[in-house]
Amino acid sequence: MKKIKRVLKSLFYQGNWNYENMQGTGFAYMLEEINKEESFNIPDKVIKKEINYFNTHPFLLMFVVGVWFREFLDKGDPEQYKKIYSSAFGALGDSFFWHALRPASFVIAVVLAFYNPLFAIILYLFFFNFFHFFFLFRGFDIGFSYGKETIQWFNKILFNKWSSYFDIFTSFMLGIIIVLIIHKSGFENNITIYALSFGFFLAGTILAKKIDIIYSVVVAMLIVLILKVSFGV
Amino acid sequence: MVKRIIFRVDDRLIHGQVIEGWIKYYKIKNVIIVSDNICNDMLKKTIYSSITPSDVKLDFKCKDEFKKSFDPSQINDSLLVLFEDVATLYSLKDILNDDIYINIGCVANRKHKIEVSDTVFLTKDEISMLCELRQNYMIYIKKLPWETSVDINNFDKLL
Repeated sequence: MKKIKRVLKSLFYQGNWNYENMQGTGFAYMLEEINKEESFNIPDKVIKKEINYFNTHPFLLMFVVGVWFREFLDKGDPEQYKKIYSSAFGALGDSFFWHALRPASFVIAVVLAFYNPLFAIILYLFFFNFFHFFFLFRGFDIGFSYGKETIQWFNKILFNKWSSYFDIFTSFMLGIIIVLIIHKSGFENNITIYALSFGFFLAGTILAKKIDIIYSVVVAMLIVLILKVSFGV
Repeated sequence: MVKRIIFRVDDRLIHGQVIEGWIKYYKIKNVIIVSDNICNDMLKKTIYSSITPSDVKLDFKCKDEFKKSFDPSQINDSLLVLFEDVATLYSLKDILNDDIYINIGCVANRKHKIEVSDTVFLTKDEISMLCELRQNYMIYIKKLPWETSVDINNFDKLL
């Protein structure tokens, strides 16, 4: 229950986002709350100082909070590792959550929308937020237990590669979407359309690491448009 | 592909804007972090290496080592060099040239700093250093490569 409350509180931590200290107010707020919950007894004036500049990916915030407490209690260098990990998780979070997970969740929802639009929306929210809440839920414990070595946990799960794996998956799903459109339109026996779809699937899978996945989405939309105009699909 | 050498001041060094913005936009395959604080610290180097895309080569140099080894004629691909602060960039003024694109990206707000853009807050000393560099080189203040640079024509009036 304590952890669920913590996750709910972390959803409000960007409430005072601004250009001067970015998410600094929220970071100090999370420190204050956890300091109370865990009875770490860190003086208020120490926590209040943390209101200064802080910016990271909001879904990975709790790892930095965990690292900060661990470093502070071990009399290490909480400021230094707060800064490094906030940048590191900004990079990892942007690449995975914004760049890869969001389009992947979208294409899954599109495929399901062919069969049940309401279920597609529910699954989109579930799939995207599964990762979002998992990292918020586990972040503090992992950050606190690994401390400044938290990067080892991310390396263990190969997190840095997740975005390229998801890009490949999204390209594959875009090929599936084209095939589904063909089937829905009753053009099962048109070899040109199948060749086009299969070509897209192969090219997407091979090139997903080389090109931006957004271009892949644009190409898929163009193919659908060409099919519509040329074959009346 | 045009070879581009970018010197960027960014106190967060590698973060989302650098990876999703600068590295992808200019298809940069080589990045160097110039920092005396990081160049000899194994853990910090591991953290930054772990978050860099696998197809990008990340190197770490101490300030003096970088100054001695930097030779633009030996660079074949685009290169992004990251500094934590304006002072480090200024200390390397002897190796700057017109082919280097100088970018001030993100310098966090602290007490007694002056707001230059929404992400760049500088002390008077840092503004003086940039004013001096601006006499010889163009300096662009922007977070992302596709943004318009903040106009700093009247930069010295901030002093």
